[in-house]
Amino acid sequence: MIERIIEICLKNRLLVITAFILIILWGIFAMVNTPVDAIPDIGELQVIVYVEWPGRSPKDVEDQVIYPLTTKLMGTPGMKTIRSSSAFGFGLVNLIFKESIDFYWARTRVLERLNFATTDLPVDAKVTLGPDVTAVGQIFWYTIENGYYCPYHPHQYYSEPGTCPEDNEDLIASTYDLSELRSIQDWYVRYQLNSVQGVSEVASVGGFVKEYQIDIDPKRLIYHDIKITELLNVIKNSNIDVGAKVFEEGSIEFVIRGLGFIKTIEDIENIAVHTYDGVPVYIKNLGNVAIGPAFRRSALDKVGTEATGGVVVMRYGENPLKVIERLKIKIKELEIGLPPGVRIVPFYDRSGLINRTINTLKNALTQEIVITVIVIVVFLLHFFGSLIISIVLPIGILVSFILMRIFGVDANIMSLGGIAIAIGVMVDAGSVLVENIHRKLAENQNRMSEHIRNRLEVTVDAAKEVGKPVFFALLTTIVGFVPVFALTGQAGKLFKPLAYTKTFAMVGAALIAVCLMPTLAYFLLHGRLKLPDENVISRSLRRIYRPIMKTILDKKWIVIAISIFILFGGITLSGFVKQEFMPPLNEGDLLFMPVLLPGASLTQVMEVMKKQDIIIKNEFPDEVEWVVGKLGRAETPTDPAPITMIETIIHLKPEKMWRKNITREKLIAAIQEKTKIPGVSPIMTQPIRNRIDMLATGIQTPVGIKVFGPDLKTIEKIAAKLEKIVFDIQGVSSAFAERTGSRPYFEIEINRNAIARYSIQLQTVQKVISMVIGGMAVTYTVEGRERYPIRVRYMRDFRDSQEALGKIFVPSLDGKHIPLNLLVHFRKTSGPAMIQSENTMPYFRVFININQEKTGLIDFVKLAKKKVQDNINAGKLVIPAGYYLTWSGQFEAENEARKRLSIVLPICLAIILLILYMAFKDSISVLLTAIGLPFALAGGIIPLVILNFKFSTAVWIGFIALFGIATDNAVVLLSTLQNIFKQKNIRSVENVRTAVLNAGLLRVRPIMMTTLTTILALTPIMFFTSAGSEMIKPMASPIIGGLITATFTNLFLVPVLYAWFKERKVSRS
Amino acid sequence: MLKKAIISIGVFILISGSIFVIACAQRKEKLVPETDILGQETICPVMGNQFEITKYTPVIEYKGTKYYFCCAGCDKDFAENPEKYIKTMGESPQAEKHEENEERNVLHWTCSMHPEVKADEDGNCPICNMGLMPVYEKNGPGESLHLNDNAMFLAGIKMTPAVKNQLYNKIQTIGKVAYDPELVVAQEEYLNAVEMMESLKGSGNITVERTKSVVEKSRYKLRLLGMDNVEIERLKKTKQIDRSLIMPERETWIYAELYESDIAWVKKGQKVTVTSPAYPDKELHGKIRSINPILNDKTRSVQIRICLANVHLFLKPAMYVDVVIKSVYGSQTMQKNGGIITVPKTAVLDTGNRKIAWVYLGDGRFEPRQLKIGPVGIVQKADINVRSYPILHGIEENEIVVTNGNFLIDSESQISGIAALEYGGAIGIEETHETPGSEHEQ
Repeated sequence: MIERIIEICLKNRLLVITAFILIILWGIFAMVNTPVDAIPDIGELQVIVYVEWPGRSPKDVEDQVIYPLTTKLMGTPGMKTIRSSSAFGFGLVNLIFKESIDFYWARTRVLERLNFATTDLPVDAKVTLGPDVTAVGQIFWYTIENGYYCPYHPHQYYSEPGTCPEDNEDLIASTYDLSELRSIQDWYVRYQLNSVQGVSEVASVGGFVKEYQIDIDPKRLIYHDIKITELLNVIKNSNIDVGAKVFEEGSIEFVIRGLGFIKTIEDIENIAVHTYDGVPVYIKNLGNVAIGPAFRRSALDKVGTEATGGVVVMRYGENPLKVIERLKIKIKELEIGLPPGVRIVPFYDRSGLINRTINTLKNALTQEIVITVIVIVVFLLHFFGSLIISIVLPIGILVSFILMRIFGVDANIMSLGGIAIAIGVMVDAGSVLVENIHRKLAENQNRMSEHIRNRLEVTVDAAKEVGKPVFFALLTTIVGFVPVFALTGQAGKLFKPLAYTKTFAMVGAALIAVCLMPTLAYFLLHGRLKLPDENVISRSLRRIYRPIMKTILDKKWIVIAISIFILFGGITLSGFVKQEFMPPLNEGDLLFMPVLLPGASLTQVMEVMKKQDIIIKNEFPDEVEWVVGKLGRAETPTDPAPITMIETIIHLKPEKMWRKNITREKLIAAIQEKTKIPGVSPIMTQPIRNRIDMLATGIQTPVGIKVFGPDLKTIEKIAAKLEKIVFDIQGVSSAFAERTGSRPYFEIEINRNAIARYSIQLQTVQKVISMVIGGMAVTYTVEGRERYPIRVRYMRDFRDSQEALGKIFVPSLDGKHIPLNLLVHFRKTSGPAMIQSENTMPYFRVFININQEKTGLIDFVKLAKKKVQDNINAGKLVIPAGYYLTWSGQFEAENEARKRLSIVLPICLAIILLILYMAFKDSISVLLTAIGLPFALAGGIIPLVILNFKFSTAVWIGFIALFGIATDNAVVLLSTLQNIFKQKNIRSVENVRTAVLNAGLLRVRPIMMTTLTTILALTPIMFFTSAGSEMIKPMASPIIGGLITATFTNLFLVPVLYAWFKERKVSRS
Repeated sequence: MLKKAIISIGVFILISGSIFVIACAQRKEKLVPETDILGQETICPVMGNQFEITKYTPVIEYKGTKYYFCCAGCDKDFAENPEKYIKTMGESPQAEKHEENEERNVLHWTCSMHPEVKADEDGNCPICNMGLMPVYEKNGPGESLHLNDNAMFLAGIKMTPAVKNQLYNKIQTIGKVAYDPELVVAQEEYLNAVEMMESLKGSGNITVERTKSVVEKSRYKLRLLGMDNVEIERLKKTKQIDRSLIMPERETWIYAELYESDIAWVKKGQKVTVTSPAYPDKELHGKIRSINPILNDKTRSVQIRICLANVHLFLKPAMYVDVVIKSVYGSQTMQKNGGIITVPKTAVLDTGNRKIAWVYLGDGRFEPRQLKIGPVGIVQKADINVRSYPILHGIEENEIVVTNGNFLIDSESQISGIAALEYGGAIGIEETHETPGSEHEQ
């Protein structure tokens, strides 16, 4: 079949070339339009439902909103689990879907459910479907800052004081306060940036939201005998505009409006609450009205100065580079409308990182291509021949971009890395093919003088001859990589793009090799073609190869001893390599994340943040460009940070500007050391990594136990007991039960007897508590485009301590004012800082780390389950009714992967063997091909030890790729051996050795060529230090090491063993 | 040609051979302590600390002497530069200790957001995936928290001595300038009755008896309207009715309302400060003359009667006023002895679990104290009112307490594990069982 395709292609040369020109154009289009990001999103497929209930405690949010909501969201189609967390003022429901489900389909299902799920919730709890974004969607952060401007050219702004370049006028500093800047952000910048294509959400953070504050003096309420509830109603009823249709006058129609929206402080002050004998009591008689900062849960800080700003969250599946580009254009447009001096200053911009990683890969790919081409040129010493082979690379890459676009794979470090590790292999097929055509044509040339008609036939024959083995070799490479698709969980998400692109590239290479290359060879291999013997490189190769082969064919033990030595060396060395999940990507920017214990006040956290930011900027002026700290959360469901968590983005200068002797690691350590504040833990991470971690839920240890039950205290106790039980089991390296992070609560418990005595409804007390102490927004002003809340509260002195709270007056039904301390019991207590539940049930987790050298995960879980059951049976562990345990953790993923691999691996192996058998129709050859594998493995370990890499998934991928390639050359060599042995009648040991030697000499050039292209192409990557190289290096190193040993086995061990088999056969007969 | 081939094979063998040898050599180097010295105490040449030899203790033989190391990692350091460590071993261990606390033993690794995580080795938190941080071994149980000057500065720590103070309670309430014609009438009636009684002195029994009962009745009425016996006696003596109850006078009355919860703090004769919304800048001082014996059912409050000088006749009857009553905390003897030890309110971390104050011991050391405290009050220091707690138990006089930055100190103690031993931290829960990490060490 392959032969037929080659023939058809060669006979329709024009068609083939036209088709490939079209493919190239399509490929360029695909390449330009493929979304580009730094790393693939490895988070789970989740839809977030966000609940906002301002001022409510985690307990209230859990009981009144999250629990009823999750019960009704259960059973959403396609959903795996539903996890939720309730925190102060908000709650998040994470619905985790099966991987195969479409993101927007899942969102629609959740929306359907929400339709009735929200029916019984409190009215003021706002339930919204989170934006259509993923964890890595936060691509752009900015601050809105005061700056300097020239009074005569106000549209130009400057960040430093000085003089105007146009007329030397002194610059004036703009002086907008935080609430004004926040208003600019909230009402001008935010919605405009949100309109940019690809932006899902723009959230504000930091600064103060402006609000109208009515501070009531409770004493005056009593003087004037006014109930607080009455006051609230009056305010609510004093803020409305109405329309009243039209009236006609003459022939003109007038639209009638009744105007009554509150616009100024005076409007509020002059609201009359009551009249006594015609004398009105105004709000201004009862307290103060002022514009002030609303209660806030976040703050921004730029080197010690408070700031306000926003975060742009990109829509799922968009191209971040393009979105940021559009954002920057939009910001330029918006700047004209900003007040003089005010500027939008980015402090986190993903495009820098993306460009850096993509540049790394671009460089890698270019260097690889150049080196590959050089190797080919050197080996072939024929310009057009090299050109034909090299053309695989650009077209192959374009083909993989087309396929990436069709399959929805984004361009990022992993997917481009897939192409990078494929480059050396891509040319292999072409090399063999073109070499053969070249040789045949050269031979042909020497034989005849007239060959226009015969050229086609010769080309067809030559192509057909190697077409099949080449295609099979490519097929084994592709099939060999299939197990990567069986990976699940985070590893799967990370490496599937890579597996896809590598496969795409190989498919592209196969396509080009079969269809395009013979055609091009037909057109371009003109002139006088040299025979292999006339080529300097091949001659010298043979000169080295021949004597070695001769020697070792006589003394086979040498090569066998060396092989065994390598094998054992590799196995021994593997004991020194440590394990790790994934080498972290260097994102450039740092995210410094100091965390205080729950319960710290915003003021305290703010103080810490300011001090640290100043230290970081001042102590490291050569390394740090800017520092912007954020505490609490931006107003987006993708940011669940509590106020005790600071996230400071440290933007570093280019490394060449740093002081000498400072590395990234040293800098991190130095920053942590200098900013050490007691009670604050200095965590240093990276922005993207952190976002993924923050939204990840579930258990990250190998094994975990989830304890479910209604009462937090009880499940906490059970979890603590389990921790002890499990710890004694053999193989456990550590076990810990989760504890609730407790935070202080101040509870106001209403005494039902007391309120009955004073004839007060409970609702009234609660309303007074929430309004007077909490200060809820009663209504909103409507001022053009802007909306601001109006809120009523007692004056600060009358609500800021337990003593003062006791004297809040609650109006009774019969017109009395009863102080709160007669009605309630105050209690300071500690409660959960956050409540987490899964599938509607609160749960605690016990995390168990296993020493996997001592015990297997699956065995351990079996043993541990039994042990726990024994304890329950013995009555040592009491699980009350309504409580239960489940076992979970990474072992589930491993189980899953094992299950899949146990099917996929044998199938792949069987397919490869089948392919090999189809190629050879000889079991000994198949066996000899397979013998190369362990040596490749052993060789792959050596560079790991030398370069001190750990066994990460990346390294495994490298090994898997290696296996596909390592056998290729053995296939080529063995097929030649077979051909020779078939053609000649070999009867003596001497003849066997000569035949083997000849076969080796015939194939030493293509084998060295294909191996060297792969090895040398990957070598420059090993010297890269730029962003993203740390992900590719561990993948490349086993390939390089393994190929070196594999070449040794292919060139020496395989022919020697083959000779040995044949010799025995010969001598026996 | 054959030569070349043999050379290249030779080189190859040499390389792989040396790798193998190195690998094997590294394996061999792993010595194990002899069984007879297990359990002995020795000093780690790298860390300079004393530790117990276990079967996992790394050992290196150098120049015929065996060196034992407290933890893995030390042996590598030693192997790199053995002379340096042998040298320092000879010197005083004090010099070694001076080198910052990084050199201290790591007890376990913990996550700052999830202090329950206690891992044996560095890695990531299983809950949040953040990097873990080390918790260093302590020298002994109950060690106080130690901070250096820089850390104290960064934490913004402020301190003040706990001294004896007069602690006041401030009761804020509302009142009216009395407009009480009823009382004026009652006073007049009473005075008339008393006059009549006096004029009848020595006359017939029945009239005297009747007048007496009229006096008693009107006296009783005065009592019900809020005057107490002392005032009534004075009224009887001076024979002056309070005109200020209907018209502005030099001396005027304020009727203030007291809620039930405050009654205990208020005594007759106490000084009060009165301000009026009409004259926000004026502060008038008066005295409590009497407390109404009956609680007003409508307002759920008790009326108190305050007498004060109304110099420029600012206050007009029925005008609203704000009343502040200051009462001193504690018994008479306590007040005479200079009051009670107080600490500013900010010094106490009261989370409902327990009340904690941090005491400075000097030399950068801090110690947590569990407190018993009384109701919050006010201490006046040079015109500044400091809200303070009276200390019933927990802090001695003149001890220095932390008033700012104490949350950070408390957090630090929880993170570093000191709190777990002592008290669990102000916010943290009490650790009832040992850490699994330390158990594992044995």
